[in-house]
Amino acid sequence: MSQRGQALIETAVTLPVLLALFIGFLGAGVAAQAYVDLNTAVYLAAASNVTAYADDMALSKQYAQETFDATVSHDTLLENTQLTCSNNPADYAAGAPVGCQGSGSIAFHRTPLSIIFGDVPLSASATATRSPYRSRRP
Amino acid sequence: MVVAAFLLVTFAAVSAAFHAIQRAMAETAAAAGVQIAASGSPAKPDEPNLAGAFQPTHDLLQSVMFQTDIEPGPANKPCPPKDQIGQAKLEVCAYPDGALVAVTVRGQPNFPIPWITQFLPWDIDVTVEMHAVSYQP
Repeated sequence: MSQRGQALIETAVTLPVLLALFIGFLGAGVAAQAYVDLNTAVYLAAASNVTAYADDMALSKQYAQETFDATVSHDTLLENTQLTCSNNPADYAAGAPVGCQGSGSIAFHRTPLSIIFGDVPLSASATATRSPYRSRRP
Repeated sequence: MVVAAFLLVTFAAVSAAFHAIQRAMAETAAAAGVQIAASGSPAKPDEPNLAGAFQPTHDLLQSVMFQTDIEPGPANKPCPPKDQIGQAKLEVCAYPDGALVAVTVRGQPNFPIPWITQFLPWDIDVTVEMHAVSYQP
């Protein structure tokens, strides 16, 4: 076999591997980006939750939901996003920590990477503590 | 041929990783800025401190944005579209959005290998929002 033939076979074997590596890198980058976005949205939602007055679960959840929805609305890679914050009234007392969990999926179908990847579920959680003094209603 | 393909894939992978780091930092920086903006200032504790968002956002962005100008955008307004922001420049804009406060980081950062920037459409456009703090005195 000539050297040209050998080079052709080597190229044919190596190129798909390199292409798979490249697509893998891109997919990992997109997934990391989506996870950072979801994590930030949940973190800010928890931070908003504890800026409502103490012992007002409805208002706290409203603040968290508004913050979460507004932040993920700017993201084109996330869809089916949901936020849940604690249902325990004791978590809404002044000085108490409250936890929130967010979930969603990476919308690979909106990118050319959909030929390789399906939509991937993601989740993130965050905890914030309400101010012991300033959160009391005046 | 294989060597060229290998170099191309390596460069693309490094570029993608670098962009992912820059965008993640932009998200983190905007989140830091929006918390300041939503919290009020000592002089006006019952109003969002929109001007206060820039400095913490700038300080975090600076560590990963090489030779990129990071400037405040128009006061209390959303950033202009990407094509109106020059090369190697990022704008940080804080503005009210109803009961919420938004911070946007938008623009195209410089790339460590300068002439390549114009061939990479990987710009930054990140917006985060947070409900304004309600229980200030």
